[in-house]
Amino acid sequence: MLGGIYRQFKVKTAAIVNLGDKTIVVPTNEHDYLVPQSYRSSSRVMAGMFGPLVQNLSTKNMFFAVPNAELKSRSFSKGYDLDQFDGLSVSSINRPFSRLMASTKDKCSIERWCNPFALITDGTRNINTFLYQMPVVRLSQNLLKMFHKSKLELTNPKYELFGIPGVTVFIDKGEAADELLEKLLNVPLSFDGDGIVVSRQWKSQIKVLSTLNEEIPLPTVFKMQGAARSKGITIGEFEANRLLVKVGDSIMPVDVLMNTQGKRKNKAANLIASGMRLRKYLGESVERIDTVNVEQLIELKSKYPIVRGTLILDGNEIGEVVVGINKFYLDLTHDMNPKVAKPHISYVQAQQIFETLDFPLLERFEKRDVRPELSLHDEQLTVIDGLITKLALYRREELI
Amino acid sequence: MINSCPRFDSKTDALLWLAEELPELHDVYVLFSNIIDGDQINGIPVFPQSIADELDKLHELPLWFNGEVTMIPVDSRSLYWEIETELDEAYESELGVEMESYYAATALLNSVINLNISATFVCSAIDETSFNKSLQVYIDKLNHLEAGILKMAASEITESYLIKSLRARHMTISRKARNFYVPAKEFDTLLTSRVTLNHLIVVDGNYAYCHKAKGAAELLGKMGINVEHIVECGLGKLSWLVNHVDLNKDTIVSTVFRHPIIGYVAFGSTKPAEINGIGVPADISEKLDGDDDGDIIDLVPLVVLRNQQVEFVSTTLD
Repeated sequence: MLGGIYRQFKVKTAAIVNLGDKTIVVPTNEHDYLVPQSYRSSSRVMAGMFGPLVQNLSTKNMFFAVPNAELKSRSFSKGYDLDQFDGLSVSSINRPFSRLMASTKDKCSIERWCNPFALITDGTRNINTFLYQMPVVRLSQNLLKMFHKSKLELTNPKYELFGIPGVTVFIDKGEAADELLEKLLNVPLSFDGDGIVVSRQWKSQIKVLSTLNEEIPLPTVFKMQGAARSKGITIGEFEANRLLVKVGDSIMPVDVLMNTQGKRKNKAANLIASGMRLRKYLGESVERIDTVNVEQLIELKSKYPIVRGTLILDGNEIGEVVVGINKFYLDLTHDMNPKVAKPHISYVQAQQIFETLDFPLLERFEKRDVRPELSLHDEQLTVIDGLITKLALYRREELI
Repeated sequence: MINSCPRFDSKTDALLWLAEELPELHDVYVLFSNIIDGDQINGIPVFPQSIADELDKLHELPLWFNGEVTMIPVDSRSLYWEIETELDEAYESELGVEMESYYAATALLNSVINLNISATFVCSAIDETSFNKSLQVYIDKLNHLEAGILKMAASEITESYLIKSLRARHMTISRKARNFYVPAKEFDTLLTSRVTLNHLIVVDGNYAYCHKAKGAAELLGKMGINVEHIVECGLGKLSWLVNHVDLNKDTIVSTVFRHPIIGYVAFGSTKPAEINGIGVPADISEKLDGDDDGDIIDLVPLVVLRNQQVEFVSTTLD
């Protein structure tokens, strides 16, 4: 592969400024910051499939990145009301409001169009994977047809946003699920850690497109996410013909196996939405969703209860399961393949822990002689210490 | 000291003035100005081989302040690093050319260059207030450099351990399973590597064979493995023993770290399998706070138990 998976996109930046009793969002540029690099790193984002969307929204002042940098001047007078934005943390929980998306609702339109049940979904967001980490993919005709036949209809825009569809069986964590996984994968894997299992044939229908338009197969292990942050890595693969699911008169190969998603508030986004897509795919009429109408969203949960089917493993019916067509986003930002490497142990922490535990592990490992390097660092520290002491004295002396 | 040097419009001007002022260090300051004047990636100066070659000749770097120069000893290896991208090889074969090596300045070199420039800023202050203010900024930068050197020293110590692990993603396996499951191919590469042989203990009956005996009896004791004799032997013998491991008869015991280590570590028997991560039984996963959303786990093989088939997993808390 010569090209990369992600490309750089330029977005507008803004600062959140207190102005009297109001908090406003002020668009900024490079010259507003003490350290211009902080501006530059925030204004250029790496993204995949939805990078152009982010860039377009930003051009129209609908999306701002908020650099984590000190402003030079605080004399801002004009800006947008902070209430006009949905503040996202984007990457985990470290910096809330590091991205601002124009919105009159608790959750911005993009998130609602991606997850129509967003307004009744748990607070944790899936939008980072959606906006940035989802690579450009080319799907097989079969999967594209499945997406178009199953996509949920909305009042505005007409349809939910694109994601990779897959016939998904949701299984409760526990011994029965573990037994199924062991039969399917020959390794006693478990759903307890929220991993995801996929069929080889489903995976082979998804090709990643590099920035030079090369088709790349998905790696052995990759991270997937449904709506409502139901994320996990792929812990195993099975042959599609071994696992089928029967819903009414239809028998379909299972594409994805995952757990039933513990959080009550995530069930609508995962199980109900997937069930509605499957109903539509199988020819049932499904109501159009108004993503801002919370009452309707709650009603839909009882109107379209979860879909159940019979799971068939190697030709034998093994029990009833929850089934649907889930919509997935991928995260290929990390190489997940196993490798032989230097372990991730910080010396000080490891030393303290092993001493406390009286676990003489570190003594067993060979050590390189680092005395010459350490003595050089000692000399450097002595020089700098001397200089600091000397300079500190200047302030007490006659200056002229 | 106040207003003792001119105020410069650019960093390069400041460095070239220092080159003129200090003839014995002329070449070093010109080198600094070439680095500052060159390309940058994310604010970090990058430069070609010719500049790296010049830096190789330096064993100390100057810190100028108000006419006085303090020399800081350095190792040229700590002044730059080679920028390599995954695409270099592909470009080379595609375009039929050899890519020129490119280097980036380390934080140490960057700091020293910037301190020299800052020093001219302090000494060009025209009143006491601005002098004191800029001097404080300069001292803060020195403290920052000091902290950076301490960090480098700490990392030298960390890097001094010659350990290799199998690093993979955490994959939860059934509570009933009493092994760590590992990808067979990568685990075999690790098990037979020289670095592993250096610390591996092979237990055969009442004898434990290892390259160095230090800590061996204590470590085995902590794992509940007791032997009467610890025998030091060459790496050749250990290599032979490891190459004849038969997992139908023998057991390999490994230790598992979740990064960051959260207060204890796990250890247990290890089973090569068709898995692309490190399989950790769910009860141990809970203790290590690991789940299957991309957590990284490191596994280091420690002991081979010959002619013993045991399956167990445990943590240093149990």
